Parts: sequence; structure tokens; C-alpha cells
Amino acid sequence: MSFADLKTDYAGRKKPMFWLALKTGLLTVVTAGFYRFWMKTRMRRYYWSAIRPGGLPLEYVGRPTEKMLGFFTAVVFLAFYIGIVNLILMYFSFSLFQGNAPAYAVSVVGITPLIFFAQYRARRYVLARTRWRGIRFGLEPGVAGFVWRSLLHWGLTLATLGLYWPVKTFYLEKYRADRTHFGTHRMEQGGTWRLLIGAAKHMYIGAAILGVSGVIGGVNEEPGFIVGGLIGAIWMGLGWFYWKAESFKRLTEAKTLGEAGFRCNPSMGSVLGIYAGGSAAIGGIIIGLFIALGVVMAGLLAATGNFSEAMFDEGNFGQIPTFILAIGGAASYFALFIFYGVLGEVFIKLPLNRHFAETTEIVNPLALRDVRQRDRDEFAEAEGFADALPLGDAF
Amino acid sequence: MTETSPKAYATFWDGVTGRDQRVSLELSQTTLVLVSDTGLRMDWPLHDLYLVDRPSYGALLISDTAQSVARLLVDNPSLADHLARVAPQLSGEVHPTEDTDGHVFADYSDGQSAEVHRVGLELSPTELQLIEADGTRQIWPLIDLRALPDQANATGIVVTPGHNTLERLYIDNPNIAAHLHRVAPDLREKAPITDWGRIASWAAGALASVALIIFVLVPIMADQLATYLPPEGEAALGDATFEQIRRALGELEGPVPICDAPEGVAAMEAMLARLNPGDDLPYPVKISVFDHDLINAFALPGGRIIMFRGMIEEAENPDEIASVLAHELGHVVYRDPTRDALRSAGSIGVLGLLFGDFAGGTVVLMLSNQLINAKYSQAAEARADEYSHHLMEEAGLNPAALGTMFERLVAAHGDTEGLMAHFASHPQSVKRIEAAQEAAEGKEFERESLNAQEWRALRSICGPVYEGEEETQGPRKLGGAN
Repeated sequence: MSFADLKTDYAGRKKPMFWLALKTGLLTVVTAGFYRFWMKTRMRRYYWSAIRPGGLPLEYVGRPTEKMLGFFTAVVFLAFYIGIVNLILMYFSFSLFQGNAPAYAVSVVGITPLIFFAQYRARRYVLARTRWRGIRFGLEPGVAGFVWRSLLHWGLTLATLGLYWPVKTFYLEKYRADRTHFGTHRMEQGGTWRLLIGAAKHMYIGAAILGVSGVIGGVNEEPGFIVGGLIGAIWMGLGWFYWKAESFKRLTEAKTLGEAGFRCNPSMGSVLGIYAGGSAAIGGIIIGLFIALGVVMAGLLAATGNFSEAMFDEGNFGQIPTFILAIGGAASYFALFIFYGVLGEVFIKLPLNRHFAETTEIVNPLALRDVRQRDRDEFAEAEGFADALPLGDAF
Repeated sequence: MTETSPKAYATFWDGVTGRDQRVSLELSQTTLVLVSDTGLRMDWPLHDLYLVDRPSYGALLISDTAQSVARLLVDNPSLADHLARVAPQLSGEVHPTEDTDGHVFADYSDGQSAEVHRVGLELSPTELQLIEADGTRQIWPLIDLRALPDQANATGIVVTPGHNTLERLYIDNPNIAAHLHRVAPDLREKAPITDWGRIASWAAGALASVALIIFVLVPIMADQLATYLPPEGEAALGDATFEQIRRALGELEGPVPICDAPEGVAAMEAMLARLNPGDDLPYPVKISVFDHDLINAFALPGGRIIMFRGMIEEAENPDEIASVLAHELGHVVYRDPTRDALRSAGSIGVLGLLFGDFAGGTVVLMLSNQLINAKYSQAAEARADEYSHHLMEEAGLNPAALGTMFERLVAAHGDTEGLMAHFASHPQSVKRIEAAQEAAEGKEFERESLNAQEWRALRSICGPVYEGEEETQGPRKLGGAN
């Protein structure tokens, strides 16, 4: 009973994204970081609206002020934890172990559950503020279950030196997907723990080649095995791109939303191409910018050479110039940082989104006609914890 | 009526029940006829057929009119091709937003159901009318229209009838989008922010808790913990920092070299013995001289004191170095460095929270941390100065030496005042000079901390010094040190 499947258009373009990211990034620096709530909101509005399943855009309705409120809420709780707990850990680390490494280790372990907590809460906030066809998405409460599962699965991943990774990815995604709603319909993550193992096969093969070459090379002290190691490393690297595309495909195609499902066909080559081409473009632009800057600076120095000599001669090469230099230095540091981020959005994130969106279709979308609206998830803290603990974007 | 032969089939949805059924198709010059297996016939005039989508190559998804909810999926490529020839509008762009008569369409969602309605649009000078397939009309006054901001689709527009509604109208027609931008006066008005009160109170709460932690809790705890930290712990903390500083100040060749000419080291030891801090110290001190031009000295946790070659060269007589050494001993006695280390361990993480991770805010972080700790250090510096005066006097040395040392520094650098003073962890030098002179007032001091031979040895701790040059040059200019 297949109805016409809904293809996904992608309306995002590099140029408007560039200006939006640059403008909001600069405003964030100028406001000592406080515009970031607006920046995140506006960038998400753009990214969400670019994805158009069946020609109708997703909508992001989160508000900057609720993010700010959530941030303040999180600060009240986290300031205590981070300030006092860090101090005490530092003290015990030095008095018991005569070093600060244990303190950092304990501090990281102490903050890990908080990170998983923040991840789930941020996902809940973002889904609650996402709509398609006017209908809200949502994530059920269930953060405690997510935290202990994350601790368990990440622990197993570490204990197995990463072999467990695909299983961990599956279980954590299943936990969240099974609690995801589109209006009145609940999403379901099908498949078993074996679902993603095939997606990781090339990383396994690469790791195996690398490991075997290392062992044999180490035992025989045979330099030829360096070649084997190199092949293994490259295989693993390429395997990561395969994983990126294939795990998305497998997870998405095993998801159902009532009677509706998904078909998804991202390609490893495209993902690899986007990363390679994007990095090359970013590198080229940054280098070009430095050359241009160098030429301008050289010109300026030549023009004002006499001026700076005069400053040295008078012997008051003191506070004011250093102060200005410091501000100038900080400004260019931030400018470079922002610009780098902007290029990353334009040349990596946007093309990746486009590729994954355009290769995803909704199967049997007619089933979605029964979907009705769900209640608004009032969420006072928004993604405050994820914002305060620098986790990067939740999506 | 000519039947296509062999019989062609397609899949039909009535758009109401959600069920699909297989229908056979008959095609005349003007009409497409759908025949259900119960024999029911539906006439779809070719002229009105409307292309909804091209779901795969060679297949067509069509409806009987642009406003209709019924759908027909023609998946037989030759039939689809034939249909597109007899009804040319089917070979056009998918999802046309205008029909041949100039009617404009858009997608409307009511915010209650995921079903999207294709509606016709009519525009008057004051309102936008949405006409559903069954003829019902909604009237949206232009003055209420709001457009969603930051949308990726640059030529289309998504409008809502006011801010507090779930209804959405998705208009992909560029002409209509542009026209609405001209005629709807408040299209770009932002949703009002209603929760400033809550934001303000939480902001105040956040600031208060951060202030409480940074300015009260962390310092109190740092002070307490600093006195309880066992000496080995402090020594470990100091050693870690010591190596970090050596590396940070070092050049490409490696960490800053430590000056260790035996006579010079002996002279430094002699100076320490003469100052005789003795019982005040929580643990023995370790003095190192860095072969570096900086005119500076500082103390690290665990009793490490670092003196720079630049400082020894800048001094005119041994008492000036002794007074600086006494000052650093004061820091060791009061465990200031340990306290500072613990304090910044606590406060830098909290500040990281406030500024977030934008642009790798490390610089902002370090500046703010400096600003906060400088305030504490000023009190600590004054206390260390006092200790220096006291220790010098006890040892029979002139405490004013600290002042003359600073005087020379002020002459070279100028005082730090204004904004920069906040960032400098030493109290303004003029005040300190005055304090040192006050400490010495009305007293006679005959002794010197080192004799001429020892002083020469100390000055050569990093290697031989060309005395003649030193003598004639007098006070050096900043940056004049070799």
C-alpha cells in the first residue's frame, strides 16, 4: 500500500548561511557571549526551515529568551558544583596524590553523568520546539534512564576499546527514538543490537589491519609492516565515512512513525567529498585571507613606520600601546575564530545536512494524516545545562 | 470513448478515508475516467488535472483539481507519459503555485492535524482570504500577518495570522511572497518578549550565586584548605607550576636555564641566613634564579622562590635584593601562592560557565580571573611588604631598600594606574615606596645584607658580569638589559 513517498527538498544555500553565521557570530563576540542565545535560535531557524520533507519546511520555534533563562538556571546549580567540587578535588588530589592529574580525572568522572543529563534534556527541548506541518515533535521525560544507560554503554565501549561502539550507538539512539513523538504518534526504533555492526565493518577491518601490523611489526622489528599499519589507518579513516553514512541509513530506515516509515540513501562518497572539499575550501580561504592581511599590514607598517619609531624614542613605549595591542590581538583572535566557525557551517555542516536531507524520504506519508497536535512541553530550563557545559550543539 | 488497451490501472485515494484502492483507467479526448472494482465511475476532466508530485521516474501523482484532496498515483510509465501529453500541465513544474487562470495556491496547516490543505488565495487591500477545497473561507487581516524569520527558502514565505497561533500558511509563490512583504505592514514584527521579569530574577540569582562562590566561598575554602594542605602536597603543586613557568618563559632551545654558579648560590644562601625567617616558615624555602631579563620575583606553593636575573641586575645594592627576597618570604609564610592556586582552581571553572564556549573564550576567562584574583593579591602583597619591612628591621637591615627598588622600577616603567592597575597584581608602587620609607623612618641601619665580595658573586650567579660597564651605566633603561 505504498503511497507516493515524500521526498525531501533542501532549501539551504551557502551565501545566506554565510552572512547569517557571520553576523550572529560577530554580535556574540561584541556582547561577550550573550547574543549566543539569539545566534543559536536564528541558525536553527535557518537550518530547520531548509529541510522540507514533501516541500513543507520544518520549523524551529525555540526562543532566545527561554534559552537565556535556562542558562541562568543551570548556572545557579552548576556554579556550586564546579566551583566547590573542583576546589575540593584539587585539594584532595594534591594532599593525597601529590599531583593534579587525579583531580582532573575525578572531575571528569564527576561531570560525566551531568553531560548525559544535559544531552537528553537538550534533545527534549529541541524536539519540543520543532514542528512540521504545524505539528509539534516531543520527547518523553526519561532522563534518569538515559543517564544510567549512557554510563553503562559508554563504560562498555571504553572497556572493549571501542569494539562496542555500534551497539552503544544503537541502544542510546533507540532509547531516545522510542520516546520521540510526532504529534500524537510515537516513533519506534526497530532493529536489534546487531543493526549497526555492519555499518562499522570497515572501521573494524582497518583496526584489525593496524593491530596485526603493529604486533607483527613490533615482534619482528620488520619496517615493512609500517606499510601495513598505514593501510590499516587509512582503511579505518575511510571506514569512518562509511560508518557516518551507513549508520544514519540503517537507524533511519529502521524507524517507524505509526504506519509511516523512512527510506534513506546517503552515500559514503558524498560524505567524504563534503569533508574533503569543505576542508580544502576552508583552508584555502583562511590562507588567502592571511596573505591578504599580511599585504595590508606590510603596507600600513610602511606608511606609519616613522610614527612607531617616534614612540620608541620618547621612551614611553608603555601602557597605552600595549593595551591597544592587547585589544587588537584579542579582536583578531576572536575574528579568526568566528570566521573559521562560519566557514565550517557553510562548507561542512550545510552540505552535510543537504546530503542527508535529500537522500531521505518518508514512506507511506498518508499514514501521517491521522496525526493530531500534542500539548506544548513547557520547559523552563530549555537547554541551559548543555549550554553551560560546553557540549556543542545538541543536534 | 476509446478504451486504452490493454487495461491500465492506477492507485486511488479519496483523501478522506485514507484507504487506497486499485482503479482501472479510461481515457477520452477530454476526460480521464476512474473505474473502481465496484463499477463506480469518476470523471476527471483533463483540463483540471493537477500535478502533485513525481514520486519516481516515469510515475505521476495527480489530483482532479488543484484544491482536491483526492490522489491518483499513475505508476505505469507509458500511461504517465501519455497523460502528460494530453494534459500538458502535468509535465510542468511539480507543485505549481498558480494555475493557468491565475489562481494562486498555498499550503495551509491548522496546527491541529498533520493534514495539510491546499488552499486558494485571494488578496484584497486589507485582507488575505484562504479558500478551502469545499469553498469555506478564512479571512486573515493583513495587519495581523507575521512572517517566520530566518527562513531558508528565500523566495517563499511562511505566514501566520498573529504570533500566538499554531496556524501556518506556506506560500512558495515568489510573486505573492514579495507582494505580501509590500502590503502587510507588520510582517516582520517580532514576537514580544513577555518574560523579562523572570529572566531578570534568574539572572540576578545566577550572578549572586556566582559572586557568592567566587568572592566568598572559594576564598574562604581556599584559605582553610591552604593551611591544611600537607607540605608534600604543596611542594607537588609548586613543582608542577615551576616547570610550567620555566617552559612558558623558555625560548626555542628549551626551558629557561637556572643560574647555579656556586659562589652566587652561596651568596644567596648567606643572604637568606642573614634575613633569618626561621620559625615563621612552614617549610624550608628553595630559591632559584632564572637566567631571564624580566625584572621580577615570585613565590610558588611549597616554598619555592624564583628570582630573575633582570631583578638582580637592576638592583643597586644587596639590600634591595634582600628586601625583595624578604617580601617573597612573606608570601611563603602566609601561604599566598597555595591559596592562589586553589582559588583559581575553583573560580576559573565557574567563570567558564558564565562566558560559555564562544570563540574559545579562554582569553576572556583569564582576564576575568586575573581581575578577581588581583584584588585579593593586593591585600596579600601589602601583607608581604609589611613582613619584608619587619624581617629587614629584625635583621638590622634598612627596610627602605624595598622602596628604593620600587622607585627605580617606577622611573623605568611608570606607575600602573587607571584601568591597567586592576590587572596588575601589585598595589600601586608609589604607595609601597611610601610604606617602605615610613618603616625606615627615624632609625639607623649600619649592616649590609652581603659584603662586597658576596654581592659580586651574587651578581655573577648567571655568569661573569662586566663590572666597569655596570658601574658607569647606573640605572638602566627598560629593555636595556642584555
